Amino acid sequence: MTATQQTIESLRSLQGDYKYGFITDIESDFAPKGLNEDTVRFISAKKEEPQWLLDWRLKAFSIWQQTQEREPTWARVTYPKIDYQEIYYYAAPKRSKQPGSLDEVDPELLRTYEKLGIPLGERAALAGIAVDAVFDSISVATTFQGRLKELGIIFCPISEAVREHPELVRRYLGSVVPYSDNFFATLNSAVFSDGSFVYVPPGVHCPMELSTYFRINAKNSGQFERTLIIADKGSYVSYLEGCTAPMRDENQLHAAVVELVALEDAEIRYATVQNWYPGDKNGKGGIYNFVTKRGACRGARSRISWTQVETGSAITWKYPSVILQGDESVGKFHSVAVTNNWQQADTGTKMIHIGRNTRSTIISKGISAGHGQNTYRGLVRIQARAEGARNYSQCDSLLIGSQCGGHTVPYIEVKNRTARVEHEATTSKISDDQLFYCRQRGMSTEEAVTTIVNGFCREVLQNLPMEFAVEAQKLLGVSLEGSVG
Amino acid sequence: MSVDITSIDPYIRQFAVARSLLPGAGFAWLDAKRDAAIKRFGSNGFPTAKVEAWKFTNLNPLTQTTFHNVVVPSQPALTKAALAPYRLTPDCHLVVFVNGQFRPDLSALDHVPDGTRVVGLGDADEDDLHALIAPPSVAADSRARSLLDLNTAFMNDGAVVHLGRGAVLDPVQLLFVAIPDSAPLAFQPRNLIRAEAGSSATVLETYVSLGVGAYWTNVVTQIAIAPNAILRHYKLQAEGGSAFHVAATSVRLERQAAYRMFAVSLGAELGRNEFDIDLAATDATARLAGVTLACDAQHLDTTIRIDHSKPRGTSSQEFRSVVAGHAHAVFQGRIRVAPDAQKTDARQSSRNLLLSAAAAADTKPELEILADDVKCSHGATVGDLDRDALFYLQARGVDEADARSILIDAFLNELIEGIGGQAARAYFRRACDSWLAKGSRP
Amino acid sequence: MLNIEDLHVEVDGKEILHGLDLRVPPGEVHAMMGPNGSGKSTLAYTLAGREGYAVTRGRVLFQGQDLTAMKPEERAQEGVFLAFQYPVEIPGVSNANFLKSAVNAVRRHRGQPELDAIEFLKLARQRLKLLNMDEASLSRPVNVGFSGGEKKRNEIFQMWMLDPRLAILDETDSGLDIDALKIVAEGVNALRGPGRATLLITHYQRLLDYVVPDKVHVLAAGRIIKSGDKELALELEAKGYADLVKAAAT
Repeated sequence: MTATQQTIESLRSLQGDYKYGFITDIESDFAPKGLNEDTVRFISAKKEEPQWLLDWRLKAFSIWQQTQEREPTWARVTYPKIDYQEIYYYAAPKRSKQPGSLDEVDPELLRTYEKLGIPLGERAALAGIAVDAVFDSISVATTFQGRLKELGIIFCPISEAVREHPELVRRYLGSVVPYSDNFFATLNSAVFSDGSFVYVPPGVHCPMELSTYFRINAKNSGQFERTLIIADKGSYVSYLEGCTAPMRDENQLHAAVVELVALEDAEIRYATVQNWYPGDKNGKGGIYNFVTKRGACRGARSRISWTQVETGSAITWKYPSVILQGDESVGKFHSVAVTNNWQQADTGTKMIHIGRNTRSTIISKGISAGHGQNTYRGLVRIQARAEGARNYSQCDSLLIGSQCGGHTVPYIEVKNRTARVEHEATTSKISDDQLFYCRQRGMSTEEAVTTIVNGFCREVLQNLPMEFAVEAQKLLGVSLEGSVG
Repeated sequence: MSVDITSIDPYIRQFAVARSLLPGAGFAWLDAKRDAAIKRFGSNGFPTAKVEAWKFTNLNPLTQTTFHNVVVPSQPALTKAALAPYRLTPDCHLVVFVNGQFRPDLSALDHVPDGTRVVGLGDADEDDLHALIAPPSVAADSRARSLLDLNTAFMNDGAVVHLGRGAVLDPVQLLFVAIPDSAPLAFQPRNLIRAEAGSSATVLETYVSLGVGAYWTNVVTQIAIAPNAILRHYKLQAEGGSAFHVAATSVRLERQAAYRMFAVSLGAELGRNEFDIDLAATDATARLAGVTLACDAQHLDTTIRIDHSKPRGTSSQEFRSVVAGHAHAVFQGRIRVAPDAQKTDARQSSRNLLLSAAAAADTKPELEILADDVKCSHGATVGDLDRDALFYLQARGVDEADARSILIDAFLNELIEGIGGQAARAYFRRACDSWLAKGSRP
Repeated sequence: MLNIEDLHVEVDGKEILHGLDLRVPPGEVHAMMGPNGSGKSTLAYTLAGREGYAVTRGRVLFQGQDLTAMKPEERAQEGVFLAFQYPVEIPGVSNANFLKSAVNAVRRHRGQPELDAIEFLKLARQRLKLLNMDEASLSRPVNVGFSGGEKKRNEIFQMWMLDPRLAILDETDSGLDIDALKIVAEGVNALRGPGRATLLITHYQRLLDYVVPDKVHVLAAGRIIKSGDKELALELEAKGYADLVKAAAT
């Protein structure tokens, strides 16, 4: 059965706004539609997984079945009921065997990534970025494995890690986000197909950015990738994640899980530019992005930072969090979320301070336009033993037009008097003075809005690696097109 | 969600007995409201932590005791002199309630000015009753309103303060005195303050206890402020140490109306002060400020919802808490700006001082903004006293305990200074000072 | 260059300019003087196309084109530059990025190739030096944390970078110390030339010691009540506006 029967021509007319909306015409393998125990077994068998992992998935599935009627309802998002039996849980480009090198990857796929601007070949070498490309349910190419191997760094699809490094996967998988964590994480635990695995050995400073590029292509398919990153003592790694999907009229579900573990003195920097298809101007179609991301600063002086630029998806529901267990560990969350047209975002973070002298910073910039609804939802919890803990949060909302909404819901819970927690938030619109000033200097209204919005987001964007920051700035402009009239 | 029958059943049975004796009984519409309220209470039960508005306040200690609603309580002997220490000024207008019941003999209402009416609920007319029973000014989850429903069912006394057009009443004090009984009592006062166009009033609510023992004050206050009227509303919650105090105040502001509120909460084992404010017409102003002083095992909660429904409204919330012992302070504040409430200016600040290792503070300042041309902000801090300031004082020879008192005093004074009336300022400063003298030293 | 005929402008439904006529030929510098509230800033904003400044009668021709039909950015691209009386702060946007966007928008319109980062910075550094401005100001956010004098100099810097045909300076001299005033004046003088016209809006004669105008106009209550050469400015300085306004009213 072919995944993509629509003609590319029929889509071309729509491609003006969302430039990643094309469909790759490629043969795919599917698991039968719908979800039951057999689906879970099918996925596990396809991946030739060991018994322990199948058991783990089945446990997750049985919990998920019991909680099926209880999708979380506290977020400020509305969407029609998702029919979990109408989704394909496994879709993979057909191929005879695992490609040994890039030369063996289907050229149609390489062209897809070329079109998306993702460097898989020589361009990657020039950019100095190692890339794992995940196409629908499976990883299609991982570059630079050889060079990383010399340093002892493991960077591979998680399915490969299960085979090659079972002891690491078994020790850490589910240790930060247990399979019973929440409805969507539990679903992911049962059916996750692929994703990236990173292990950086003690004392190693990963010399290049590691990057995964996620692409949903097949129709009616969900994407359930799982990423696990472990930074062993004293190591450092910076990781980038990018996402796109074709434009389709129906909504597609993306329920990923990302787990980060930083041991003593280790540092993980995780950056996301999320540009899943947001739906059209009337709110038709788009990705439902229900994602669980959490990092554990296990060791003393470990550091985890999340930076996200969320411009895509019809619904974004994600709270990249840090559990600050190690003394003097540091958590950071820097976020830009844009909602235009009928997009809804409910995003934020949790900073759980457990260890002494732990520190966290939250910078959130929400931008709403059109009928967009943008909510920052965050928790800062200082537990009783977290002597000397510090948090600073700044949440700013920018509203463009009178039909949108910007909301701030911070929860601050402090059980230690030596802690110091500060939270500030503002809501405002783009000022007429600023707009006029820019236009008097020759910029069009849209250029002016992009310029001002980029300024508003600067504190967050400057945390991104250079190439990503440039891309993110352009995305902000594209996402807000048509918002000021 | 299943409701704990054992905690609610006694109240449903008490209601069956009291129903025909309550004020207004016989007005079919009022009976129906009371019946509907007890029915909702029965199906919702006491709010649990699963109800978002009660996330930080656990009512278990309250539900473990059955409190008795007595329609006609026995009237303990009491002299005016015994109440003197609690009065705002020796000559202010005064409405006294003892164990929830209006006591004309202890009150001072002889010189209420023309155009104003201050009476007990027993003398309320049908119009007043309608206003008393009106739904809260801000919409919320009905499960969060369970205790308000209980009050609606049981309300049997309270103050009705009515200001005619342009009337001035400055000030009137509503003094609620509890004299605990061996059996724990529940008091369910329901107050009404109506300020007609252009009127101006100062109203102080004071809650005190003249004995030791458990009781529960579950009070609801309805306030309506007509165009160009101004209400200064003060509240001192100094209930007994074993008491429970739950208050729901609902305020509706018309065009260019102004509401100024200052509250000090320092009594009760568990206290909750809830305000619903609707800026229902253009150019209205609401300024709320308050201080929570919690020690021992106290749990004191301030919850505020402000709706900006129409353009050009201004609101501010400035709340501070000082938490000692293993007490717990909660602040929840929500600002909602409706789609057409352009040019809204809304600010909110929650600052919390933790003085001891086991003290805790939770705060949730929330913004919900659906209009673009607005200025909204909030800030929250939690922590100990500023170490640099402490050190500075110590370096000048002040010992640490004194230095701490000075800084706490300053922290509170910044808000107390903002109280408009001089008598009220002195009254609240006295209340804070006596707490600081005994409460703040760990 | 600029030709204004019988210009009537309303702000919030209230007429501020009541029939203003003005011709500024290429190569000339005109000073527009007048007391507070006479409509000087209204004229500046109207020429720049600010929303809320409604032209109810008359016309404004710029290089033969109807200026009032153009959007603010089109006017800027055609070469109208306004140095703001109160330059606007834009947090997070560096001066360099801001100006590069502006310069390239104007260049695109003129059919010139866009400047890349290196070319832009080269040009910017050179101009900064001439204005005695710190290079670091390029990386600072637009006008944020600038002193009053720095803001005004930054306006002149932008003017140089954008190479306008018509420069309107709205009280650029106000609040400047003498050194800053000289720098601003040099900036204006350097742009004097046959292809350009300048309209200096000012309350005081001070700036005109350093920028000698070809013509001086006095604006009062929404009309030009007197025009003359540079001597008129000195006369105003000596006598004040009151007599002149009174004489015009009778």
